[in-house]
Amino acid sequence: MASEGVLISGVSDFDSALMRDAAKTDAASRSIVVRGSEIIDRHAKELWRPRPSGSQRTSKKSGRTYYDGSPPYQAVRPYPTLRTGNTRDSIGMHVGPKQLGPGRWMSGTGPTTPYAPYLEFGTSHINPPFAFMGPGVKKSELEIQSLAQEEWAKAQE
Amino acid sequence: MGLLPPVVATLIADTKEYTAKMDEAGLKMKEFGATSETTGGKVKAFGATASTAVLGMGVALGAYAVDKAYKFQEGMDKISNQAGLTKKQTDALGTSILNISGATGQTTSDLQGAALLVEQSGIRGAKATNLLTTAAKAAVITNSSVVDTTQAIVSAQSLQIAKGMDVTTMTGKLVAGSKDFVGGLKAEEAMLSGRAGVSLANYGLKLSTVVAIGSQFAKVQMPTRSITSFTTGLANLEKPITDTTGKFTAFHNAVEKTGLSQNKLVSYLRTGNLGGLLAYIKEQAGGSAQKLTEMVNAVFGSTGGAGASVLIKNLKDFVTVQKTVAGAGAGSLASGFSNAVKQLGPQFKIVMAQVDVLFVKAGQALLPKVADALKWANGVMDYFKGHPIFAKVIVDDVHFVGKVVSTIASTISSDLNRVINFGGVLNPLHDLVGTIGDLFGTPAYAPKRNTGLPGALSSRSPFTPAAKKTLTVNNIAKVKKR
Repeated sequence: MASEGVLISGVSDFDSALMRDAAKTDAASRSIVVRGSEIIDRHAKELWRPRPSGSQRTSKKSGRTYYDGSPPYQAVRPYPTLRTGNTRDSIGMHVGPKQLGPGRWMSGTGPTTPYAPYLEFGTSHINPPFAFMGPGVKKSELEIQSLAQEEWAKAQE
Repeated sequence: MGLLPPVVATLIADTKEYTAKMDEAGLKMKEFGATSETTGGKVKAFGATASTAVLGMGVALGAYAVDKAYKFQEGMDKISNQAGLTKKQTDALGTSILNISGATGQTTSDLQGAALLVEQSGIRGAKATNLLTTAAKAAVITNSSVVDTTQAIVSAQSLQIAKGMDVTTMTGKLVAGSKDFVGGLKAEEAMLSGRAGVSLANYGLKLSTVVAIGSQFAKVQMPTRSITSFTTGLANLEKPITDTTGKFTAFHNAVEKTGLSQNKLVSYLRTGNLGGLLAYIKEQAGGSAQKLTEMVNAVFGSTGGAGASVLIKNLKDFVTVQKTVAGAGAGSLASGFSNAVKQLGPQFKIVMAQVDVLFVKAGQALLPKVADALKWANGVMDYFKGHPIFAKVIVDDVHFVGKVVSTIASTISSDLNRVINFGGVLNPLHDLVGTIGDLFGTPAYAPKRNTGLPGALSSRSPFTPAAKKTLTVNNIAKVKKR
């Protein structure tokens, strides 16, 4: 019976290349979620309206700082207005980066002030809400997509 | 607050989904296969094209390898559960399967199916590995399914005719016989373990003879009834030639009348030389078809005579198969496999199986990390159960980055009612709720009952009308302490 030969070489190199690529794609995934979190963070913070000039005063007697939200310093929709700045400053990556599996990473970005959900989702009295995370994420979409493409492409080089 | 913030935008980057979108894995694998079909002078270029394929496939490794390893592990778990193997036995079997796959080109999933049959039949350890290796090689030689081949070998092993024969020798014989057996190894095994095979074996006929008989009967699709009658004829030959009164039996008289000697026929049969027996009948018939029919009908009966006639007409083939099977064994199986894998088809199967094994091994190295991630994920899920508000804003399993972003955006826009329904989490914040409206210049907090918050909260705002106009950080801290 006629037969042909096939020369197989470089199997160990192939194996090593696979392992190298595993590490590279894994690193790329991690970088995407970390840098993506920074993008969301930046956009969510950018949405906040600056504190109205004159709305902040410090009591000479007690030394306390007060923020006035009544007209003409009231909030203007759709975005929240800075008062203390605590919520805006608290926005950051507070979950992860965590590895969910090989090449699979996650991060969680958001504010930490306890009343942040009420701003984001609204209440019966804060209606419509002063959402900043949702719109911030929306604004980050394209940037994160190109970041992902850039990272993946780099991992394949 | 707990570990997680209440408003969380979760971002998940997943290699698997990304590569799935790009349709890389399948495409590159095909490319690899196509490039590998290189022959002759083009072989030298193989190294270069293979390294191109590495780059392409590497993209999908994270997912493909883990997927492969996961499926492989699933298959091993199935074997372990169904055959009651210990972890050590399962691990050892898994290693053997990977080795056999790389050596024979049989897929790991096919080998797992075959291994399950082996283990379920009670064969363990080195014997199981040996049987599996043998079956995989036999499947390559006969170009048949490794599962069917294993089934045939496992069944044949239990036959009396194969007792004392090691599995490699027996398989070598079966494979040699299957080449002339219509229906291949599976049909051969079916004949051997069927009524015909068992009854033939009972007359002391060797495996080679039984296979040779079966191969000739299979050619003409001889009905089982005729084969059984043929074996009854063999039984009659062994009976005494005289009855209790000392007279010759009717059978003896009928046989002798045709010119055959029952004693001579019996002597052939007792030595297992069926070929000799048939040749003797043929010789005595002297080339006369009529005489031959008379003789075989006298010995084997009219139904069994048909079977004998077939064997006599194909006596040359019968003897050839008998000799081939008799001479076959472990060596012929090895040489048969060695010859088979010189052909391009099996060679490429081996190459692809080796690549697959690499993926499984790479994935196995990564799987422990997956287990860690799952453990972590379970922890997170427990946290969500205790703090359901977060579950509404966390996107648990969204893969592709773009999808994540849009999903999070829509999830975040959920209404307060949903949030408030998780009142347990909100309780520590109740007092603060009333202050939020003040912070943004809205009227004093007065929640509706249908929001899920206690109506009493409306009267719990700690602030005087004057205080409502301004809110300090210190005030919030005070409220927190209550």
